[in-house]
Amino acid sequence: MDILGDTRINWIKYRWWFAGISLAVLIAGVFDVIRKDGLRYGIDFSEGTMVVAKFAEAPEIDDVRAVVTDLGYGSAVIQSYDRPEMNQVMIRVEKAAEDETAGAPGQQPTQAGIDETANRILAALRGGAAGELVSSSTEIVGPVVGEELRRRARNATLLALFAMLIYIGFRFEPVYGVGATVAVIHDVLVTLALVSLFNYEISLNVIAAFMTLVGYSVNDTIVIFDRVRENRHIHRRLDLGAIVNLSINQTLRRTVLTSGLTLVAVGALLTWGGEVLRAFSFVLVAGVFVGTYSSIAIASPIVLWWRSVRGGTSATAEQQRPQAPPVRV
Amino acid sequence: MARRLRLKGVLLLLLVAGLVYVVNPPRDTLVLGLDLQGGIHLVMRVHTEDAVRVLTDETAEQFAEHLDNEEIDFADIETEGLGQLTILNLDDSRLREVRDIVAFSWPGWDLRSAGGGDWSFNLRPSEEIVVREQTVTQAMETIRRRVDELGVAEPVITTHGNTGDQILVQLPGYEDVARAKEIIQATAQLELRLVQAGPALDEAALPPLNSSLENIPTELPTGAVGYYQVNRVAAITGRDLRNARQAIDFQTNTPNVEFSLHAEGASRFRDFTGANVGRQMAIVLDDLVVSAPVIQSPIYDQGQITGNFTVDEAVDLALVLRAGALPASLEYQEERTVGPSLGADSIRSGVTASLAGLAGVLLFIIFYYRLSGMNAVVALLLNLLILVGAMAYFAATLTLPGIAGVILTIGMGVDANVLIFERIKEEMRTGKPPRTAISVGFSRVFWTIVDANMTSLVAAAILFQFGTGPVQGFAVTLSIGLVSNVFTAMFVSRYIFDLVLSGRRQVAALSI
Repeated sequence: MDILGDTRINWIKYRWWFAGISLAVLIAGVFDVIRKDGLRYGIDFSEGTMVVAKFAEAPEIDDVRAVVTDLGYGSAVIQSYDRPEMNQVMIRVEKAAEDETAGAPGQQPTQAGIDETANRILAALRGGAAGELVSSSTEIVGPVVGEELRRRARNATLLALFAMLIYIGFRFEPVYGVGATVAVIHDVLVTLALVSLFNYEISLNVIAAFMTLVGYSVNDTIVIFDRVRENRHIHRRLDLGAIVNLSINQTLRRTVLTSGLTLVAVGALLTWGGEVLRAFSFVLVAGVFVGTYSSIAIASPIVLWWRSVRGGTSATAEQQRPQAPPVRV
Repeated sequence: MARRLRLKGVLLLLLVAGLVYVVNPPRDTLVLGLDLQGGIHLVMRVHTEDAVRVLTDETAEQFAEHLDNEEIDFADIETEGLGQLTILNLDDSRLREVRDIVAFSWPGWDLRSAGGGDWSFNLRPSEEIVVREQTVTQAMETIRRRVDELGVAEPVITTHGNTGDQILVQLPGYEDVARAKEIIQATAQLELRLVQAGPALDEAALPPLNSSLENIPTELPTGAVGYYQVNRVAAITGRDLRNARQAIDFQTNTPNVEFSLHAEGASRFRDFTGANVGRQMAIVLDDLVVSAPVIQSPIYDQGQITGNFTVDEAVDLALVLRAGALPASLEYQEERTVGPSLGADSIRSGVTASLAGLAGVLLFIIFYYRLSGMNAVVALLLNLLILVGAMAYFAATLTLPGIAGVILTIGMGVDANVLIFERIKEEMRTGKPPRTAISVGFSRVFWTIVDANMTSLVAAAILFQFGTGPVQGFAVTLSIGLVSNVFTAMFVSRYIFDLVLSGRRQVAALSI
C-alpha cells in the first residue's frame, strides 16, 4: 500500500514563495509581539503568584473575581482552567499588583513572606463566597529565579544548536550544517510567532517543547540531506538543484508519513491532554508542521543558494534542468 | 545463520525479561515529578551573612577574653562590618604574643595595623567563602533532618542555581504547605538564660545595660510586648539537647515541650540551676522569651518549655528542636504547590492522551505496512520499554518535559521505521527480491538514522550539561530514547525480518 505516487515536484522553483510565506508569518508575529508588549511568559519566568483553585461545584468566575477584587487585587487575571467539568479557576497576580497591597509605605514587603498573596486569596476563597474549595495549587516565583531560569534555558539551547551545527558540518559539509541550523532558527522564530498569535504563554514546559521541535526539525532535515549526499554519488552529472529536487521527492512519502504519525501523537496530546499540557502540545503540533516545512522550504534552498554564490556553477534547477530524471535507479 | 539468529533471540528475550523485572511494578519504580504527582517545591536563599555576623561577634568576644587572660592591654574591640573588627589601642609591645594567638586560634583572620595604635582584624575573603559554604551545607543537613521528621518519602534537598546560597526542597505528595514552610524556616535557636530584671513594658524601665546583659522582648499575658533583661551568655543552648517531645503539663493541663540534655549539658545545667534557685530562667527561642519560670530546685538532665502553645505548635517545636537549629535564617524565593488531586487530574489526562496518540500511531503503522508494520510496532514498544526501564533503573524523575522527550523519541522511532520500510519498498520497486531489498534497505538507511539520532544526542548532551532541572529531565529521557531508538530500529527490527524469512527458501513477496 502506498500513499503518493512518484512525485516530481520542482520544489526549488517555489523557494521564493516559501521564503515569502515564512517572512509573512514572522512579520505578523513581530507585530503581534509589539502590540502585546512582548511575549507572554508563564508564572515560572515572571515574578508573581498563581493560584489554581478546584471547587466542589462549578464556580462562577464573577464570584471569584469579587472575592479577589475585595482583597485589592483588581488587576488579577482570573479564568476558568482546564475542562469545565473540573471546576477549576486560575487566579494570577503579577508582582506589581502584589506590591500595591503590601501595606503602608515604609514597611518591608519581603518580611511578609512571598506567600502572603496566595495565602490571602486561598483564605478568602475558603470563606465559601464562590463555592466550596476542594483543592488548590499555587506557584510563587521570586525575582531572581525567573531571570536565572530564562538565561540558562536560552544559553543551553544556543549551545546545543551550535553543537549540532558542528556535528552536521563534520558529518556532511559545513554548508549543510549552516542550512540545518538556519532552518532550525527559522522554526523556533516562526513557532514563537505562532505562540504569540495564538496567545499562549511561555513556561518551562513550553521551553521543553521548543527543544523537542529543534530535535524533530533537525532529524527531518538530515534525512533529506542524507539523500542528497547519496544522490550526488549516484547522479554525478546532475546539477545540485536537480539533485535536491530529486532527493526531496524521493523522501517525500517518508516525510509525509513520519510527520503525519507524529502529528497523531502530539495532536492527541493537544486534544485530550488537559490544560496543563495545552501550550506545550500546541508548540509540538506547530513544531512538527514548521519543522517538516522548513526542511524542504528553507534548509535545502539555503544549501543550494550558498553553493551558487560560492561554488561558481550557476546551478539553479529551473535554469538548467526543469525536470529531474525518472526516480528509478 | 540459524544459530546466530537463535542466539540473538535469546539475548533479546533476556533483555526484555530484565527490563520487565526492573520496571515492575511501575507504580513503585517510576519516580513522578512534582508536576505529575503533586507536592511542594520550594526554593530558598540562606542568609549566609547571618553566619558570618555570628562568627564576627563570637570572635570579638572570644578574642577580647583571650587578650584579657593574657593580660594584654587594649581599649575595646569594635565591629566594623561582616568579618571586620578593629582593636583599639592595642599594647604594641606585646605584638608578637598577639600574633601568636592569632596564628594559633584564628588562622583564618588577618591582623594589620590601622595606625594610631589601632589594629584591624579581618576575616580573610577565602575563609569567608568557606564559612558561607559550610553554612549552606549545615542548613541543608538541618532541613533534611526536619523533613525526615515530617515523614516525607523521597524528598529532594539540593543546592540550586549558581549563586551557591540557594537550596531547593521538593516534598512529593506532601500537602500542608504552611506547616512545611514553618518547620523548614524555623531557626529554632533555643537558649536558657538567667533573668536579671523584668519583665517591663518599656526597655527604659529596666536597669541600664552593660556588655554582659541584653534586653529580649516577650509577649506578656496581657498580649502586650514586654522586655526581660537577661545574661548575654546562655547557660544552655539547643546544641545541648538530646531529645525533645511534646507533652502535657499536669498542673495547668496545657501542651508543653519536654526536653532532655546530653551528659555534658546536664552537668552544666545542674550547676547553673543549683546556683540560682529561686531566680527566674528565661527560655529564649529565636530571640523571643517564650516563658521565664522560677527555678524551684536544681534540675538535672530534664526540663520543660512552657509557653502559650497549642498541641500542634508544641509538636512542631519539639520537632525542630530535635532536628537542630539552622545556622542562618532562610528566605523563600520560589514556591510551587500542586494539590494532589490537580496533579492526579493532569497525569490522568496526560496519560490518556499519550496512550491514545500511541495507539493511533501503532494502528496506522499496522494498517499501512501490514505484517512488516507488526515488526515496527514491536520495535517501538520495545523502545518504550527500554526507555521506561532505564528511567526506573537510574531512578530518573518523570516530569512533563520528560514526557516531551518520550514523545520526540516515539516520533524519531516511527521515523526510523518509516525510513527503513520506504527504502525497502523503493528497492523492491527496482526489481530486487525481498531478501536483497531488506538487506540493501537496512544498510542504506543505517547512516541516515545514526546521523539523525547522533545530532539530537549531541544536543541532548549539551542541554544536560548546561540546563537546569526541567531541561535536564528532558535531556535525560531524550538521550536514553535516542540510543534505544537506533538499537531497536537497526537491530531488533532487522532481527524480526531475518527470523520471519529464515524459515522460507524462496521469498517471492513481502507484506509491506
